[in-house]
Amino acid sequence: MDSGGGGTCKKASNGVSDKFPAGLCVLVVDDDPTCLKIIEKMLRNCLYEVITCSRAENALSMLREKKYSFDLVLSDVHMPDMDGFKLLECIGLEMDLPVIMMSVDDKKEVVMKGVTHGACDYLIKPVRIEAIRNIWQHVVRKSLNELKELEQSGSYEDNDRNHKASEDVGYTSSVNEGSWIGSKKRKEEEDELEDRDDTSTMKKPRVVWSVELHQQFVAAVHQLGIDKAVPKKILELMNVPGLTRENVASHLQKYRLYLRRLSGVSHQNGLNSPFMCSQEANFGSMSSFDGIDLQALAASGQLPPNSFATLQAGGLARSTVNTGIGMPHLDQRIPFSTEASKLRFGAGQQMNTSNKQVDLYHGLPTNIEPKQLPHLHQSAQSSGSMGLQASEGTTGFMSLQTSLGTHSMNQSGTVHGNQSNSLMMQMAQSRSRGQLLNDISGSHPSGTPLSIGQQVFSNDMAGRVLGKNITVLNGRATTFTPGFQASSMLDFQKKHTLEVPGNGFPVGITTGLSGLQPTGVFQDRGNLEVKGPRSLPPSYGIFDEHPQHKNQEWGLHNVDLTFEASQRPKPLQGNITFSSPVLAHQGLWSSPRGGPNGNVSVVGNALVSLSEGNQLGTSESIVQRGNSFPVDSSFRVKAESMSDLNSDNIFVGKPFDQDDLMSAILKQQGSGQLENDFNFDGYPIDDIPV
Amino acid sequence: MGSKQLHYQVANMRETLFKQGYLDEQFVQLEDLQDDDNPNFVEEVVKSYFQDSVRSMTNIDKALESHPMDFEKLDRYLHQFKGSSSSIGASKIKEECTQIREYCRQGNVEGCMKTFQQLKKDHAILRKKLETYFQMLKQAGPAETTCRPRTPSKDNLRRRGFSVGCGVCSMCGLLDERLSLVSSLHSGSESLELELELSHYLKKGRP
Repeated sequence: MDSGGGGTCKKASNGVSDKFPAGLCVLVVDDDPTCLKIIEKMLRNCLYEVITCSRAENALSMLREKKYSFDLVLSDVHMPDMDGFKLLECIGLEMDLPVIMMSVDDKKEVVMKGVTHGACDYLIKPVRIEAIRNIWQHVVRKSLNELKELEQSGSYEDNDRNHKASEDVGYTSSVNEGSWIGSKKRKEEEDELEDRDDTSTMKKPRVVWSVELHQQFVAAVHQLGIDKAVPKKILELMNVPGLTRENVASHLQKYRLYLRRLSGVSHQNGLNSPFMCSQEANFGSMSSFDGIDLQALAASGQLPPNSFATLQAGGLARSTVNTGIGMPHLDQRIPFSTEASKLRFGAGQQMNTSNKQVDLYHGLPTNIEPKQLPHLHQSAQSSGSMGLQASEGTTGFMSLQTSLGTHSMNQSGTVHGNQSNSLMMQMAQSRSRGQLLNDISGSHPSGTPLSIGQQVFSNDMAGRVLGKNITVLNGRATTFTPGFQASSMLDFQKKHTLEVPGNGFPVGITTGLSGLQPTGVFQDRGNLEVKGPRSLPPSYGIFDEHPQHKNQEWGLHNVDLTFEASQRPKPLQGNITFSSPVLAHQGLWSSPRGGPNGNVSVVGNALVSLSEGNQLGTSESIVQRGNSFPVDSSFRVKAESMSDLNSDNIFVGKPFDQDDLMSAILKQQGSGQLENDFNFDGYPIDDIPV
Repeated sequence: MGSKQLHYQVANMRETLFKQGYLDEQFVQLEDLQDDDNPNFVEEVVKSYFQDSVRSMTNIDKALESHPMDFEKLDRYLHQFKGSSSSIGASKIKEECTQIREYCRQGNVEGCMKTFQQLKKDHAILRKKLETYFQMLKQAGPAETTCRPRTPSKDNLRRRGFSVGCGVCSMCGLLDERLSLVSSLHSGSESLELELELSHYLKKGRP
């Protein structure tokens, strides 16, 4: 019983109503009709616009529909169809709206739960009008914080960011649009301020979230527990000189988004709400994935045991999540589990025999927003080296879409969106990644090329990958094959299941990776456009045209999925040799919400089995392991069970927006094509031992 | 019955409900929400509550009769019921819900049963009383603004010109607890209203 509230919520052009807080658009979710009525009246009396919902599912779909641009959500804790906390998470991840919980329950534990799940506030019922009157503060606070983070994280990339932001606008859900636009504008206005402002972040050189660094980050997060991981503590644990709290904060944000996306992705199939709010989903998929990957990795000996563990443990975003949760539907999928923790480097799959394989597909977050897909597509075509998949001419990507359940991915915005260098993309992607992986792994009929560029970025993976300085080209799952159809991309987005083409996930490897070449995982598809950083305009370093090419530029570009821009005519090579195990750097995939890039975050927990020469069938999972993961040229990103998948298209999930990283990498390679299109945290692969 | 008398009765009845603990401050909040656009807001909400509560109570009944008693389900239903009851200000029912939940936690089946029986009774009483109250309210006709029976809350009193907190009547400037004195200083229905409000206010000891 949803009652349409009082009309549409409109926003002034600046994102904030002139009569603020009047006109604030609020969504109220409560199964109790009496309460609902009362709260609605209270809100109306405060001159807010109200839309009520008695079911969480309906609320989510309304939010997703973007028919109204909501500013705030008020939700009951105990609801019959969905737990209020789950809804809270979903909303936070997908739409990033402030959510206020309500309940008659005032037990400390419950309130604490609200806090840890990210609620902006917790009201005890019966709710008084005085409390309702003040809820606008959360809206303001949130947008201010977002603005701040954006500024901090991508300060030097203002250009990119602006560019992206504008693109993002198109992609962000309308729910966020208002605030996003508002934020963006504010950001732009504040740019000047920034310049003048002598904030430490301004002067600091951009932090490149290398694989090692990311691994450290992930380890710290796990140690603290995802719920308790606060930037300050993470910073302390990481103990990296020169790293600021802000860097960590923005990275954490991305990471969380990634994780959520992963869980959402993996869970996609069975869920009503496409966005998988539960981590379990991720884990589920992860676990299945993990097993394979890990084994593969282990087999290949490429995965360092510790990273292996960490990867696993990393799980998705939550430390509490147990990877063991298998999602039934996921299990059937490909082994690409989106386990974040796994950097799957096709265990030893290497794309290039000679190169280190980088498990690029580390859970590329597949946050491929529907809008982005088209971009993805385009870019894929041109760039070819999206690293993810180059479905040669196949609509592999498309197949991805079909099975892409990365619906969640989409939600999380494109990878590009994220300007911040953070892994977060991974996090966001994690969800989608998971999904992708799942799909990829396997259940996909061979006909579907896995355009999963999704690198399943497991949280850990991201870290790991990053640690290696390998930028996983995530997310930009744009299949680079010209054959890529935009439509499929779209489908990709829509679908929740991301199928990873039999072969590996394109993993963007930052230039740091030397010799990392993604081998075209796509079986038979000769054209897996894996372009090395060099060749990749978007600097998806992963896919290199030359198998032997040591790409170090697997940087995840901020995948702006505008691959178009960087489109390289080079077709994706079937072999993607990852010279470095980078990948799965989840962090790389920052999928900014608005990432216009259609990048599909290729998720894949590095399960991109980029087999050289089209060994798509091999399901070597390239798991990218954390820091210690040595990048072996022989790594292959293998998509487990990709065998049946056409790895034609491996989508590279959205790359992180590690623009700088990518650029650095690219520069190294001389490709200089690093575009900020891809958002990904470029992890330089320099450190990756070959 | 004269309008004034009706109003008086209505006010009295209302006050009784508060005094006896059937209703609490939250009910006032509801009343505050009522305005010209929604003149029957409170009544509608209360109606909706009672409709819902029947369902809740049936659920609770079932849970109580289950063997072995499903405490978890019971707790859930109670939680729900408590939530809606508190939102309309049905304080007695709310408290009883809390009590039963406590018994639940202790595993005290008998306590649960007994308290629930009491709850059902109170629920029925409240329902009846409120029905009568609304009826009378309608009968008494649109209340003149000054005569609208309201439980004096701080805001209400302030609005009416009383300085709240020290018991000083801004109208008569007297710090007075003696109702008679007050009523003698004010005329007509207003004094009645005042009287009721002050008495309520003072008795409740609100600042």
